[in-house]
Amino acid sequence: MRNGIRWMTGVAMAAVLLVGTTACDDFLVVENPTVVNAAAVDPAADAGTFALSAQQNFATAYGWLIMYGSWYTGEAEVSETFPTRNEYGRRDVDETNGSNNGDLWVPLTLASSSAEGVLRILAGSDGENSNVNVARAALFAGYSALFMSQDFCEGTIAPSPTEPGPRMSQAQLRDHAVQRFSRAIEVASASASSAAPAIRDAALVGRARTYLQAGQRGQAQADAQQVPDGFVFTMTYQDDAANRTRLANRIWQFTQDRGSVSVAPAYRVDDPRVPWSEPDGQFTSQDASVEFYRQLKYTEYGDPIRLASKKEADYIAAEAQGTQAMLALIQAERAANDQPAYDGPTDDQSVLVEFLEQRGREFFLEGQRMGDLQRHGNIVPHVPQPGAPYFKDGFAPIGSGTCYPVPIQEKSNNPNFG
Amino acid sequence: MSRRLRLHSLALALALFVAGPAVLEAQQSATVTGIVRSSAQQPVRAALVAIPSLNLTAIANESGMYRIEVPDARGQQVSMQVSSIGYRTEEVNVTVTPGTVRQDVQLQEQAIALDALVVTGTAGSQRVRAQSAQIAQVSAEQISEVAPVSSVSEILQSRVPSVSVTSASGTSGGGQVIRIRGAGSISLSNDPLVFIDGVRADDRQESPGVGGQAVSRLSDLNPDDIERIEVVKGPAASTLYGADASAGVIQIFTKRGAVGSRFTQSITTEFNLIDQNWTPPSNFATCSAGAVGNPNGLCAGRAVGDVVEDNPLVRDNAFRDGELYSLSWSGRGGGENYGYYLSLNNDQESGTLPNNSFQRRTGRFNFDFVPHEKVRIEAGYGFTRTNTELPDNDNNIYGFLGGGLLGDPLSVGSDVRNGFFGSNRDVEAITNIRNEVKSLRSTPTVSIRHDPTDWFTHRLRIGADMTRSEVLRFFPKNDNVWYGGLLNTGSVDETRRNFDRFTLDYLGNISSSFGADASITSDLSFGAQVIDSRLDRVGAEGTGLVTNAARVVSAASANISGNQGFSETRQIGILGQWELGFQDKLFLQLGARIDQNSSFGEEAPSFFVPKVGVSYVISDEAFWQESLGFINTMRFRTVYGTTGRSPTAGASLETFSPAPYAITTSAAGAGVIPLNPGNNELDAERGTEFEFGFDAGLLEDRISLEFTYFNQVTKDLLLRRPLPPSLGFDENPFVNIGEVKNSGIEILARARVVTRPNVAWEVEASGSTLSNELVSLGDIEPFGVRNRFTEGKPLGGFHTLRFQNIDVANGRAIVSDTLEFVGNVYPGYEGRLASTVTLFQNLRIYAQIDGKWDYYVYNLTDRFRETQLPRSDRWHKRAELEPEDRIRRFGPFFREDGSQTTGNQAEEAYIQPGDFLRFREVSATFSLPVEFAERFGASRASFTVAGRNLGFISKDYEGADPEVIGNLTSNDFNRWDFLTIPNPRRFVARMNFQF
Repeated sequence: MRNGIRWMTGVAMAAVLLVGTTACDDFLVVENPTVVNAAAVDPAADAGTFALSAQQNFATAYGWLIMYGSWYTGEAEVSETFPTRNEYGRRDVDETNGSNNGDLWVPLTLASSSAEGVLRILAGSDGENSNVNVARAALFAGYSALFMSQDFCEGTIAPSPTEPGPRMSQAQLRDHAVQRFSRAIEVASASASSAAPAIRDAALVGRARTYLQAGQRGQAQADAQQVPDGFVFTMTYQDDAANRTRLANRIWQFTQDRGSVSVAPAYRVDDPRVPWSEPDGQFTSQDASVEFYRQLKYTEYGDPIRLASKKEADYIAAEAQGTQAMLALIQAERAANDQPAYDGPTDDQSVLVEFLEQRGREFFLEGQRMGDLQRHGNIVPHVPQPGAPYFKDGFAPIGSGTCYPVPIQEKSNNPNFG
Repeated sequence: MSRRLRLHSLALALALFVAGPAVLEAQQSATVTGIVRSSAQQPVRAALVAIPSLNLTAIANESGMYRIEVPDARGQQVSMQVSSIGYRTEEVNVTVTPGTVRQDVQLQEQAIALDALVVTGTAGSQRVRAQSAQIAQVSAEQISEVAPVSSVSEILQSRVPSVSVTSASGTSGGGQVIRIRGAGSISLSNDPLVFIDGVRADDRQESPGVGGQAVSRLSDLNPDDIERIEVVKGPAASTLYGADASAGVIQIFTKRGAVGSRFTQSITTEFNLIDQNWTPPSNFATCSAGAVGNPNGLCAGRAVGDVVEDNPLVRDNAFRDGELYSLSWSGRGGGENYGYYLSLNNDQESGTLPNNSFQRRTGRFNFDFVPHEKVRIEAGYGFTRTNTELPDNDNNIYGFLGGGLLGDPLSVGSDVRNGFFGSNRDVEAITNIRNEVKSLRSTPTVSIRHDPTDWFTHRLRIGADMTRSEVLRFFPKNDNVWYGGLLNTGSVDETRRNFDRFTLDYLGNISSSFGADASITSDLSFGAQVIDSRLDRVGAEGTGLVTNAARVVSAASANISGNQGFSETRQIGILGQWELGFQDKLFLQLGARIDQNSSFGEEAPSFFVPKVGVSYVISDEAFWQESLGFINTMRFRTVYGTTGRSPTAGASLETFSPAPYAITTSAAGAGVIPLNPGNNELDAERGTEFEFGFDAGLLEDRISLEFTYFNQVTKDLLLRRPLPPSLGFDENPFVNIGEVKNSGIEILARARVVTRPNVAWEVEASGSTLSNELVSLGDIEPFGVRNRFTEGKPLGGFHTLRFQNIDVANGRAIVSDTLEFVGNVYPGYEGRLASTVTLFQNLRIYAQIDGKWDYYVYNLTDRFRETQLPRSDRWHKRAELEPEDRIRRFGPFFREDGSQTTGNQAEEAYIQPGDFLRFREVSATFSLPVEFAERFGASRASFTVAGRNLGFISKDYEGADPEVIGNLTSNDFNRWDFLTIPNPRRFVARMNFQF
């Protein structure tokens, strides 16, 4: 009897505990203000937010692409110690390179996927064909694809957030870029937004650049010639100490904060298009064994970076037209920048090399050089030549790469890379 | 009040004061006192002396002396029990007559203390013999008596099989990594839970961002306050402490006073000399034509191609002898219905680098109150104030080792680097960087135990662990261009972190017995536990200071920014355990727990973790004693149960991350980027664990042996499914997939080799093995690069393109086409050998060696100095290396398919076996003769000299210390040594007086 009472007491206590705890469901609801619950965001109503976020995603990726491209193509020296970054200086980037994934592929694919996402959200919506958010998203979807095609050896664009994209060649990526630029031009042309004309013209330059990259010179020239005089489209940055990685001009950030980007010897020239300064002891390289020649093209965290311009359109048009047009532009640019007139050989190859020299200076640290390398290979002036010794002791010689591999993180997890 | 009345009152008070003792004497009180000694005639301190029938207890002091006041002595005979960890409980009859009753007690060492009590989550303590899972007990009091330990982790280091403690660096105040039976989870924490007096404790690591090192909250505890530590491994942990306890539980019990015990106090003072015992390697450089032409440089007068050497850290006297000054006081005692323990401690430690220090001030007050024979209230309050200054080191260009070991000798006398890595950044510049973590920690707890009947006991415990931390990283404004850029204008980064953890715990026990002679016993435990943990962080930073004295963010002129974070996790669990005993020999334990956790959102699923176990003291059977009497104690135990782990808060949700966008150079909009796709089907990580073992005592308990085999299989791993980055999410979502297996054996053997009155020698050896295998990744492809997760290999095992052939003839290394496994991150074998010799009852000599084997360390320090910033003589004198060694290190490297690759992918030369054997501790403790101690008014005095980390042997590791982890703040599976300061050796002198 006594034991029976004990058992009953035990069962009763356990039941009380069980009931008590299950009645405490509210206790398990906690606030977590550091993240945004996706359920709290309305994709359609907040499309403008998503479109401008996608634009910033591209701006962030753009800075990274410029910096790594500057090392790869010899605009700058890797004046820091990261082994993964020195692979860029040596044109020998492995698919396991962590910087290749974290600093380049992830930001670029975020730019691409977020822009493509806006297009999906607004597909079929009222006023889609004149919605400036559609135009903006299409513009940056286009530029993301373009940069993927010129910097990476291959790529992919996800059709949805749950569906990995197909393996795409550089040509397929360029086709996708043309499609997106065309959409941007179409929608921006129909939009009444004050932002629309700039989007349209930037898309025209982007499409021209893509056509040039693809060797479709006629189309490149046609688009380039539609760009109005004086047009400049820049990516906007800010001096926000709390958001340096997202909002700052990456080149200045890595000049000022890390001392990572030292102007390469070939660019230490007296040319207003390539401003730089001698080592002064005040600003030093992160790799202190490398003398720090500071670039002065960007001198603030908030300095904008040019993405598209009439000037670029002129270069595209000249290159598309051939030697004489290039020669004419060479002379014009030299004169405009206090350089003596070109008096070298005027054969096609020589003019092209000089044209690329002028192009390199004009678009110094603007992420154009990887495209030049893709189109013209090792004749591009100042690109580190395969087999040459690396400028730092202890490293293997320069490799023969012309583009970055898709990172192993993508290849391993995207079944389409099999 | 009139003057007369006041006089009467005064007279009455005086009479009471004078007559008081006489009145007490008239009540016929007795004082039972004596000394508790071991068979080697050593005093047994902290032995529990109890007269259960009178509800009186006392704790023996440092001299083994106890004292129990019996208020009503009538010549009755009472039974007195004396117990202590590691000894057989003795029961003696005492006749309590008025006056002083002397009763000395001798305890016999017990190899296997089956009747020792352990706290296992039940309302009361339970005997070891009934436990089906192994619960290791470590007597902190006994260890700190002989071993030079100054932290909880040092108490545990190598002393419990399968509890792997790694001191991550030689930094004073730096953190440690503790793993129990390896790592079972890839994405969640593998840190064991820590409970202090039954309250879930703050077990985080905090870093000011100095590199790879952090401050461990375990270091807050004063080891002198700890009575014992219990380590719960295996299925027992999860069933009793919840799903998060899959990685094991460390229970810390602080010292308490005893009801009716006399007041005793102890003063300990200690001095440590901390000797870095390491000369940093020199930097080398090859003279160029320009360097030869510099009359002030090291190459002056030398030929081009000559190799010169510099050691800036030695040249600039970077290292010093560190020191620790420690002073501790504690007192404890009790009255008729209360007991108390009080302590104060002050440790001041300076590390071997000039801006490294650790200060710890602690206090504790434990108070036990028995207001009624059926009610016991235990209250405690501990506080700790720590101030840790950590030096920059590890992967850090502002670090001492980074500055010194990566310096270019050609810059000596040539430019502002002067042999250091950074321009103008010499030892003085690095020393002036301040990194501080100041913490104030409070741990209040109240526990009420009520025994309404002899068969029902229950207890309610409420406790908290609250830590307030101030974290500072400060670069002083200077005119010497020490740091480059804006840092030279002064930079301050301040963070305030508030961490609170609250525990509410109710447990009840119903015990009963059945059958003839009550041969069947039943013990039913049930309870509920609620834990709420929250971390609130706010920080700000800025640059540009007017003066270094005004180093607040609001005084900064530029780059001012703020940041904030908050997270909270709540969990509820109810548990039940039924223990059935047969003739006090055979025990069956059935246990279960149901948990819910806020990590899973509003629809939090509950999950169920059951266990079943058996304990059989077969040596209590008559047939055993008849046939196998030389094995006087033998217990078999086995347990099978389930485990689980929960993810962090909000893990199941699809989320965005706030991400602003720039509208203009000054205006920003509130944007978002995809953070995590979430997984609304997320469940806890589930596992099963099987454990089998035995405890044996041989030759009248002269030898003991504990053996355990464990096999843990974790299924439905909470794994971050690696998404292709092209999907655009910043985080990978958790999914329940895959399987990990951990298995191994644990052995602990003790032998009392000599037990003569003037000579006693005890030897203890322990070892454990760990086999860790990622059995399945489900449909997830292998991921990770150097530390890779591949089916059939251990978690995070080192991988690289491995050497297939060193082609000396053609001067090239042929490596594999794909990543191949090199070795373990976690040691496969750990072992320890300790010896204690006691001479003439007052000199005790203790020594311990321990080691770890079958694991690898990524020696990035050497790799960097040889191939990235070549400062090593191996690079500059590479012609002198054996050709094969030269090719292994420097290549060129070609895959088997003929394509060339780089040293970044072919790192095998620098992923090195970390196997080591370390001479961990040696000490000699001399107890002064009593008459000498009494000259100081003390009842006992002892003097200890000791050494710690005196040296190690490592056959294959080329770096400074294979035990360091240069990225403690990173994840579990990334063991590297990168510019990490090795563990120093310590010489200790300690004096203890008891009064």
